[in-house]
Amino acid sequence: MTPLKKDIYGLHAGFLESVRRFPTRPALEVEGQVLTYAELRSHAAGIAAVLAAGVRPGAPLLAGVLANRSLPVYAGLLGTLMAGFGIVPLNPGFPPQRTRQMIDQAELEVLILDAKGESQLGEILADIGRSLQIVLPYTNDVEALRARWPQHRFVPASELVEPVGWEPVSVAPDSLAYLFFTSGSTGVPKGVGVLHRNTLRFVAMSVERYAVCGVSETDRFSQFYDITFDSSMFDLYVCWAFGGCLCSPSHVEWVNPNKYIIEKELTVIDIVPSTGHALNRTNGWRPGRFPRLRLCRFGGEALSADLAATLSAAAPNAIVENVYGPTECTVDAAYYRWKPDSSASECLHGIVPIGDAGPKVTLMIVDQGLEAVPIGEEGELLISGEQVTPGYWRNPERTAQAFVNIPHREGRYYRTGDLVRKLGVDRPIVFLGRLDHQIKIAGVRIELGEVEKALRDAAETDLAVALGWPLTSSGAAGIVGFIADPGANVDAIRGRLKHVLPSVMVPREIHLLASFPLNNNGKIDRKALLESLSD
Amino acid sequence: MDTEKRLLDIVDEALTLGGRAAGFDLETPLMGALPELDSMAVIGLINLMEERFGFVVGEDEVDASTFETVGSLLAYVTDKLRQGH
Repeated sequence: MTPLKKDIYGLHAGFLESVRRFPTRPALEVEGQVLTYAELRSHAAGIAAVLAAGVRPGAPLLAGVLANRSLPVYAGLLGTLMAGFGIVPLNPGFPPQRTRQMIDQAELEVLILDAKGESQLGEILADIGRSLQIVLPYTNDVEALRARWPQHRFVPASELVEPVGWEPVSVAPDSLAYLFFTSGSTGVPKGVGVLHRNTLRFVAMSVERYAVCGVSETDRFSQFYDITFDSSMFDLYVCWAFGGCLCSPSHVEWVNPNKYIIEKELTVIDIVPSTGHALNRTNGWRPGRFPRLRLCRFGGEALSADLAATLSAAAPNAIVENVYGPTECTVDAAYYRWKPDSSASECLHGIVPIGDAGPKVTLMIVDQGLEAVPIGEEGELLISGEQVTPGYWRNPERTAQAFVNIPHREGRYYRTGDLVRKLGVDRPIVFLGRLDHQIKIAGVRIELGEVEKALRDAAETDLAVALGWPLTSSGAAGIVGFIADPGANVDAIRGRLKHVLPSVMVPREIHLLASFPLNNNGKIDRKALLESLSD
Repeated sequence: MDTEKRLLDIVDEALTLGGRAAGFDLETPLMGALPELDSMAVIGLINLMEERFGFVVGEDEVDASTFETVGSLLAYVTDKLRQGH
């Protein structure tokens, strides 16, 4: 292991500090193998050195990681950061056409793949104008790829060797650590750039919060979130800042996630409530089942009091928290700690509060004129502080709409679009709903406008509606579509949608109407459509 | 409708295969071979099987081998239905 010769600034600093402090402790368990901090660093450094050596003046310092639950994911993410590049996390489970949109928007010239990512290259590289560097950390078998795509540079595992004396790159606080793409209402995925200083503030806040609960290098963290989801930053970078072991289940292990938690002796888990409901099927979260769990975080969507209470009883030695924060504000902005004896009285309509602002985070609840509302009244939640990101990728107009200045107040405020209410002076904030047509399914943010755009294109019609249905305590379980064309071929439309949308966004059912119901304003009556579903 | 056809319909719907499952046979590999059957999708598939067949999938009854092929999944479902849930 190469000792650190200088202080490194960046999201990778916590990992590197743990490499120095705990080189032989386990850092990662994935694909049936356990890697120590020194071993994982070595894998990452091999990738980083190749990336750093290939920097082309004028090219974006970004690398896409198209991989899932494999060593190339984690070595690729760390290697990207250690090279001074920002990460564009991609998912081989998404339609290649969508992944290509993200690659083009980010103007990527570097991709890091695993075998699943490689299987999509045919569609991803089709008609791409620029030359890419494609890193394949899991194989040396690149001859066929080189022959098929001579314009791109394929780097096999054998070339990913850290040169003697190489050191990770230190980055500027305002450089990009991540570019996350979320569903966009205009039909194109929307990029949110997160800076190193945003991420470092988030990691510092988390370490401070959980170190006092006893979390340390002996802890074993779950890695259940996909890397395209910003919540995965808690799993990876908070775990590695503590020096803990990150446990990434394979698809096979995920068949029995409760068993995985027990058998891998996890002590820290972070999940969306929808996953929690699934894990609690058939009494999976019976009282006392998880005595080793020390910290359980729910995030990404509304949490029901029943689920929080059930997990609290199943994990009697754990702190159970509801964490809240949009991608635009770097993972967490507010916390609510579940108190088995008294929290029920703070829940509204059976939903757990989102709590109060984290340290150095400022929350404001405002009316439509962006004036603060009195305590107890509902309004839109605004967030300010060091974790607020600069805005949307190459979209100043949209950024200006969502990130605003408030007269007589310092800093920029992000408009969450979430309707909330603070229950009282010393009482928490509760989430009431969305102000727009965004919904969440299993924690994944979906702009219904994006689904509607895809529906219109697929059905070759100019009017389509998408609604979250059936409704659940945490949002919706799926999407239902409506088209005003009684003769449309639903199977053909769904087939086309599958090529452009991730499966979670493809409507489960498409209803064909002769015409849409209209409300008094002459707008499509979405409420009436929803009611027609419950009949 | 026979159980195999019902199961394939469920697989198709849970994984949003757009009709592809109709071409599956008993030997068709599922887990590890079908990109749509990712970690979250397993849970969705179990939930839909429970809903449509009206039985409860016990946590200890299924493991990765259950989802290996269409045939292995069908064997599990047939067994459950024979037991009268």
